[in-house]
Amino acid sequence: MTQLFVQSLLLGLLQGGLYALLAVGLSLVFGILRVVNFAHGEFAMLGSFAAVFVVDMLGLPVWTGLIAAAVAGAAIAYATNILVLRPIYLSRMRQKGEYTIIATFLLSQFLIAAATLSFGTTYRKLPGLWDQNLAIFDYIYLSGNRIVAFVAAIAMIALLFFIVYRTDIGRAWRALTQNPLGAAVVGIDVNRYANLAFLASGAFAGLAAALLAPLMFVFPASGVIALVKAFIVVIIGGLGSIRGTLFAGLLLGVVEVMCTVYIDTGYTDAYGFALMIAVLLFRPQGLFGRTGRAV
Amino acid sequence: MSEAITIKGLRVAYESDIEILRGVDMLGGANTLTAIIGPNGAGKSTLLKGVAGVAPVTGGEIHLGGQRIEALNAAQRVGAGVSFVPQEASVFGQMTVLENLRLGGWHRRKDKAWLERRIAFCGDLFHSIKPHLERRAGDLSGGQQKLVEIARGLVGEPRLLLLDEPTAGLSPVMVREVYREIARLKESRSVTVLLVEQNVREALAVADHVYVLAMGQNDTDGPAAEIAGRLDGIVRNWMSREGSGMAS
Amino acid sequence: MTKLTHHLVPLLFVAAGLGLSLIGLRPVVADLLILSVYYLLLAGSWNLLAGFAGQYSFAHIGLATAGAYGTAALVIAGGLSGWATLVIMPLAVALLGGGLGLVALRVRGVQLPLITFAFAGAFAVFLAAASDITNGSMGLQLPKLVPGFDRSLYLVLGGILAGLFFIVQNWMIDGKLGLLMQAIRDNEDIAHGMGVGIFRVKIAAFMITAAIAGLAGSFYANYVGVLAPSMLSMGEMGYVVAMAVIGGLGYRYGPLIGVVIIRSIEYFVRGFGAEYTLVIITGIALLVVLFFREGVIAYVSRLMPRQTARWRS
Ligand SMILES: Nc1ncnc2c1ncn2[C@@H]1O[C@H](COP(=O)(O)OP(=O)(O)OP(=O)(O)O)[C@@H](O)[C@H]1O
Ligand SMILES: [Mg+2]
Repeated sequence: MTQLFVQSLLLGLLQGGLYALLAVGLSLVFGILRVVNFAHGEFAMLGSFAAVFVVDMLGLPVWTGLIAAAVAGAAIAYATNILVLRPIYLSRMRQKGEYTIIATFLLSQFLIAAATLSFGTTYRKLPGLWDQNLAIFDYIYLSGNRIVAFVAAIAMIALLFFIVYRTDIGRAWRALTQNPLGAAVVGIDVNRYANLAFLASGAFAGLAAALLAPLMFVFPASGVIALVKAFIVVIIGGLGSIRGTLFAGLLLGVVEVMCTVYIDTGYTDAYGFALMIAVLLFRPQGLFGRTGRAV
Repeated sequence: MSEAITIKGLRVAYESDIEILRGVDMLGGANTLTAIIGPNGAGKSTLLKGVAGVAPVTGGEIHLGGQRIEALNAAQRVGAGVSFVPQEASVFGQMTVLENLRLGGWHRRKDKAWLERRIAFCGDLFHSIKPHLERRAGDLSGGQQKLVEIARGLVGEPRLLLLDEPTAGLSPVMVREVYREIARLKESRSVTVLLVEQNVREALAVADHVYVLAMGQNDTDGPAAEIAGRLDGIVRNWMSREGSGMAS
Repeated sequence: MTKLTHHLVPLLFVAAGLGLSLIGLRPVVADLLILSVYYLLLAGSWNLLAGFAGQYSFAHIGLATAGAYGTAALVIAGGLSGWATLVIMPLAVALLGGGLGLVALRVRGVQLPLITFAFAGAFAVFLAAASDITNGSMGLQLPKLVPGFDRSLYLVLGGILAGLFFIVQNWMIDGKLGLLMQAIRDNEDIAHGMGVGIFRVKIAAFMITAAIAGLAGSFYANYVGVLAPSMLSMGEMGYVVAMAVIGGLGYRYGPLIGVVIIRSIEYFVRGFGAEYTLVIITGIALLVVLFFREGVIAYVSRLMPRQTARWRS
């Protein structure tokens, strides 16, 4: 009994770290620009395809696939900001927030359709960095790939925390998040720091998808599932809060695995929604959400 | 070294077809203090925002000394020596007062010695916030936050300072502190100031020149003493157009 | 357009349905038209919610799918006639939408799109996983409304449902609810200051549009006769959004124009295969959002200022 419980808990945490990595960029971008990016899932999807391309087609080592995923995700996120979002939020139109949602949503559908056209609908998988099962405490087994993915995810999130709280880039991001007008009058260039946030956001999403690729499948519509998870995480954690995202990611992972083990295996992806509704009933703004949003 | 500010036919529209400023002209001499008064909704804040680059300018020119700045973005204008203390709350609530002041020197943040000197200097300006430098700015009172914003606006040693109702909602003690600082700035002859004020008497007392705005356009202007002389007439004029004094 | 023309439009649809049912259309064309009614109901009600009330929900296809599966349940397990489901499911889905609204509308702003998106995603997963109920990708079989497969019946019914939609739309937009919805869309703070009961208006808009989505789903189930979980996909939602946006969000006849445009494109490019169709349509929709933000109607009416300038309700 305890064996199963501890194993599930560990598995949940390992999974949750990746969810946090997947969602953290969404939260960061929202904090800075008040933009909910519905194409975020496709950054992840295209990142994982980049990894498949580099590893499967070019035959390069697996770790280069991770780098390719991060670079591809970052590049597409950057292009999205410049080509799709900036024209909207620099314009003098009304209801910019709503238009950015529609635009990114349609962009995501376009990217899915384009990916389906280019790569087909076959499900692909990546080899892992550490295809081995490890025994911990003699009776708990975890796949090496999961451990690698978790360690990488936590390292990336730690890097993000370092950037946010210790560097000038992070100070600019926090200033923009806490008071956009204040940031403008002290001379922080929104465009520049929004670009950097999108680069980070896309890189993290692409990397998270590539780390998940040995455990799950790579296919054009995978971004939708990724986005649903990321939304659940940021809503539970509170939009714009990086700490909240980390906590909610881990929580979602644990709850999903626990429910899958103890209730029914088929519905893994639906438990998160139930968890989100439960949180919303008690704290509509999310666990770490504040009226004055803070990174 | 400060510069004169020249505004010619400035137009601002927040949304596509509603012009709030419809051609405003203004001249603020180097090292002088120009007060801008007018009824609520006249477009005073919009004028300062247009100069600071945080409201969309759709026409006209802004010269700071020899430099045209209307095409620069807000960050570049800060680099050109413009500092704006808006009417709305603009502190970074989750940061300490000192961190707020540090961000005031953002455009010269690489110059560490200069920055530390300016932070120390500006942290010392107002007695009402001096004891609270290590506290989170969001935890201070509204008036104290306004003083933090003013102090932060001075860290960068601006050549042009735009103050939008700096004393609104302040206690009498704080108002005195703010005006003492404004007087000191004037005396130092190192900065050109545009001051928007509702407390017309206070503003006239420190101003060199006064502009009156109404409905997004120039109403009248003149030396402070002269405007003070015909103030009653000017205000009566606003009243008679009550309701239509707004720019829209 | 005058009020009178707005009231003539429903009649026009009913008459068109009757007329088309008589002339014996080719089956391909008839199927295209009948399914277009499904999309018109969805894009039209989504436009009411997003374009007029400013509430951007991604649950719409999910609600329609709930209407379709509810229809299947009532017909297959409950032994009801398909006609009864066309009345029951709108009401049931309105309640479902109301429940979702109670959770999703509590916090203002971006929460709604996110929560409804998550709802649609979770519901899709549920349908795919609950193969004991949904019969997996094999799908559920439903009988037609009357024995035999008579497309002309569905053309008439489609005309009536489209007409019904425009009646409801007129009633909403020209009535008090529509005014309040638009006040909230334009400025929630000001609307709040004027004493508008924001939450109640939003819930009302949410429930009415959910009912229309439920009706669309029930119509779909009764017409197509095979239900598979793939009915609920974000691609379909993208389709509906694209229709509303291309025609013109916040315009009374925006979705109608969008449905006509997109369904025509679909008809003409269908030879290339589904992948191409989707790339073309989402690509066009994206371009419209980026370069003609208010859609075709606004663009055309700017070209001829007088006549159509008043289309924007
Ligand atoms: N961000 C904005 N978007 C749209 N309209 C705005 C915006 N800010 C101000 N306005 C409008 O511009 C007009 C002028 O506003 P402004 O704030 O410049 O007036 P003001 O003279 O500073 O008034 P007050 O004395 O009340 O501060 C008002 O009608 C206001 O409604
Ligand atoms: Mg003002």
